Amino acid sequence: MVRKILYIEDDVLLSSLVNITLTKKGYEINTVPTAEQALETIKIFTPDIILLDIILPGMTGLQFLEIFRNKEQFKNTRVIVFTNLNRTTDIEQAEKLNAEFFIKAELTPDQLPALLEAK
Amino acid sequence: MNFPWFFKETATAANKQTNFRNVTSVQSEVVDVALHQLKTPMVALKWSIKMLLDKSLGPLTVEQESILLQDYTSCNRAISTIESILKADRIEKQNLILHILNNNLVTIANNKITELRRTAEMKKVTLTFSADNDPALEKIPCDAERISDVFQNLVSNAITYTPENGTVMVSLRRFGNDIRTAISDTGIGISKDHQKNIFVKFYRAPNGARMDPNGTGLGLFIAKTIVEKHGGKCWFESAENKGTTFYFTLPIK
Repeated sequence: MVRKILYIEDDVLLSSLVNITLTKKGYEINTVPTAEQALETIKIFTPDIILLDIILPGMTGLQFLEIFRNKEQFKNTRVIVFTNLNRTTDIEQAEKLNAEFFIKAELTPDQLPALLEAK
Repeated sequence: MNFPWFFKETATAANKQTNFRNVTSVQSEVVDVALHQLKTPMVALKWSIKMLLDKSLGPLTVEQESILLQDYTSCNRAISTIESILKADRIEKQNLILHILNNNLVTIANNKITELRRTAEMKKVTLTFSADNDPALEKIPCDAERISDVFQNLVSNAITYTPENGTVMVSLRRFGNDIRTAISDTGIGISKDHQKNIFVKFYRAPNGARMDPNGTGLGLFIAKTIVEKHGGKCWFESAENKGTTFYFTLPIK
């Protein structure tokens, strides 16, 4: 079954690289640059996994995560916070909201599919 | 109510101090976010170069591949510079939180040395490692990631500042209730005039800056602060053109 990914990232180059990598591996990927657009997208696109940046224009990734987790149908959706911010407070908040936490700089695109299949 | 003049002065000074702290804290937060934002396009560049090098976007000529390899190295260097500045900033704000567990110091050192062996080989520098056969070394209370950073900074410095055919020796020995790590090199050394400033943030001795213009002058500051936060000490002995030995201790309990 095709796995659906929603990637919330405002950096155009990063989102297109992830898009290319995951599409080639057979994922269905939807990328949006803001958390507000992501909230609209999930009304029509039910992701299996969310890849989430923290610093976004407007609502932050962690604010989005809080709203997302309050929706009954997304309580158990896998969320991977995927950021360059390595702040303890963010890691703790992400973990509290049942999300995983990864630093972009420590990964390369070819490692992404393995990360998505890790659970 | 009229307060005596010295109360007013003190109150004003205290307000200024508080305002300064607030401004500094806001500036620091801005710098923190700005640096992270600078890191994002660098990571995106690194990723795109990696995809090109992996040939997942099509074949490359030998010349293209060679240029991209240099781009990849430059990107990694820029990212690691940004990370060093962030780490130093976090240390200065006392935001460096240690996650202390009993860790095997030999494993931490060995992993880092294995990682750096390739760099040493490329420079034709011999890198050796030895450790006391003492069970105390296997359960040192420390933050493994941060102590790994200390090894990274001290050992990579030793390799960087040691000319071809030189030697870098890393040893772990027990001295009473401490484990003392020594990183000895046959490198360019630090002249007497510059020794007192060597742990100062951003400071670079002129002979070191000549040999490696890309250094940030943050590695030793970061290493010393991490060691001291663990209750240890960090110091060195050096003679110009002969070599340097950096030492750091970690308490067993």
